[in-house]
Amino acid sequence: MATKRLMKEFSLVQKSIPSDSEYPNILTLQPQDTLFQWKGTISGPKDTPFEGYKWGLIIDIPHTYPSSPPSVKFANKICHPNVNFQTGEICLNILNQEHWSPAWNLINVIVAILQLLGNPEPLSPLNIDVSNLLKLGDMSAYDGLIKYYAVRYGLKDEDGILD
Amino acid sequence: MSEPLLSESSNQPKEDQVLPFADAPSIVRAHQKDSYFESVIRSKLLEVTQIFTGQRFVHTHPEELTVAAKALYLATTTLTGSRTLGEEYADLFYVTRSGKKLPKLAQRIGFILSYAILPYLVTRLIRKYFKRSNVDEDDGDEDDQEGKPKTWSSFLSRLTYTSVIDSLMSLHLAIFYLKGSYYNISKRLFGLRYSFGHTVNRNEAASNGGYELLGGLILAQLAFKLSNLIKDIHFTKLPEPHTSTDQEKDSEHRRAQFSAIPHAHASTAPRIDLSNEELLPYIPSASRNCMLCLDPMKDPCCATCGHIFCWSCISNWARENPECPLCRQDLTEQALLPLR
Ligand SMILES: [Zn+2]
Ligand SMILES: [Zn+2]
Repeated sequence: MATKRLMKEFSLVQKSIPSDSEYPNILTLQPQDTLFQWKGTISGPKDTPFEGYKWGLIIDIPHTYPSSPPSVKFANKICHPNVNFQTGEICLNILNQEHWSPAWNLINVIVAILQLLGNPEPLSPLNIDVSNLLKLGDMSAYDGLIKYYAVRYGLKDEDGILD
Repeated sequence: MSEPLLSESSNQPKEDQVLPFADAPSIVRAHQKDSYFESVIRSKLLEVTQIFTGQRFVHTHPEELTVAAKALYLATTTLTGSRTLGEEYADLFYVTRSGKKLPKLAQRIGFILSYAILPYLVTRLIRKYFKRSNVDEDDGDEDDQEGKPKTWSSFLSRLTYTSVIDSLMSLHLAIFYLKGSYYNISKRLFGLRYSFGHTVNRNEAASNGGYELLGGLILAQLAFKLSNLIKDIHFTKLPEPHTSTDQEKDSEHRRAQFSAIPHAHASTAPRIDLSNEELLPYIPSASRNCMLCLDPMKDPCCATCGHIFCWSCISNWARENPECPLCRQDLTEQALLPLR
């Protein structure tokens, strides 16, 4: 079932990415050597401190997909309360078997990650430092720290698209 | 689970009053209950593991958790000689092939190992093997040869591991439906048969019915598959010629198709396929696709919340996760209503 469904998702993705205006922040999304390993590139959503920079995503899909969720992590370093700065691991409830639903697809997952960028959840932090700033309400320091790391590690337009 | 069988000597059926062998529907009922409890244990286990190892581990080891849950459930029931909850529910207990004795401890251990752990180990091994043959292909493809006899070797190269296992499982299931003796291959291997814990009167036997028709359908489907395979080999050219030594490399192309060993489940041809627009015309075209496999629904069935999915898609999901994938309302396999 996994392969058939991933083929379907692949053709769905080819139709809607990157042309579809519904997903302006998903720049690329494609399978690698097998349908069970994908890579994607996203750009920071408008009106968030991530705007203007890009990040790569590494997506590993279990053979039990869609009964089990894909595992997604950032390819380059990103400073965000719910992302492990060293490993790129993301704390997002729908990526957890408990909260995952097979009715979601890879595009939904990436949209959820984009939403997480603009709406961090300081109560389940993977990056304590920046989530403390958020808890204290020090938004200028929060934005500043994120920008600093975005400049340092985010991909800029001239870097081209991560493949 | 809580009520252990009486000691072997007192409970051993005597030769002159052997209890009847269980029929297929009761075995299936017991099995469904047990799968449900296995999934409950799995989710508890997941919570506990999460506390000790964090999310990442739970996330990367879903299969290990399933194996552990199965092993735990059987170790506390079958291994100790008590019945599982499903067996109690359908009033079944294990007997040997002859039906005259209770199975020995070694038989039960063998069954638990081969049922819970062996499929997982085999899957791991095969996956590793595929990875290795993948690497081999990277360093040299100059020994690709052309124009090889495409009869026997190409036949073999088409038999993927999954399809062979799938067909074996279906064959086994068909035999089970026809004869009603062993639901799992592991139980067949170790000779664990089920008997009823009570005598069966004619009314009960009649109301349970049988699965002979299903068994026949599965056999017909297998025969159809086989004839297709043979036709394929005779009438289509393979994109690349293969030699028997090339089989290993061929596995690379198949890796994407590879999936874990399926557990025995009904896989008959769909009776209602919504890609045929004349069927169930009251379902609007926008909702004829299943949200789980994204195809037009096959054997659509309705959950208590009103959401519709393919039978095979939703029953697979519900066995491990008793909630609707769309609205998260409670959902059990038994409450699914087939549409026709
Ligand atoms: Zn489906
Ligand atoms: Zn629902």
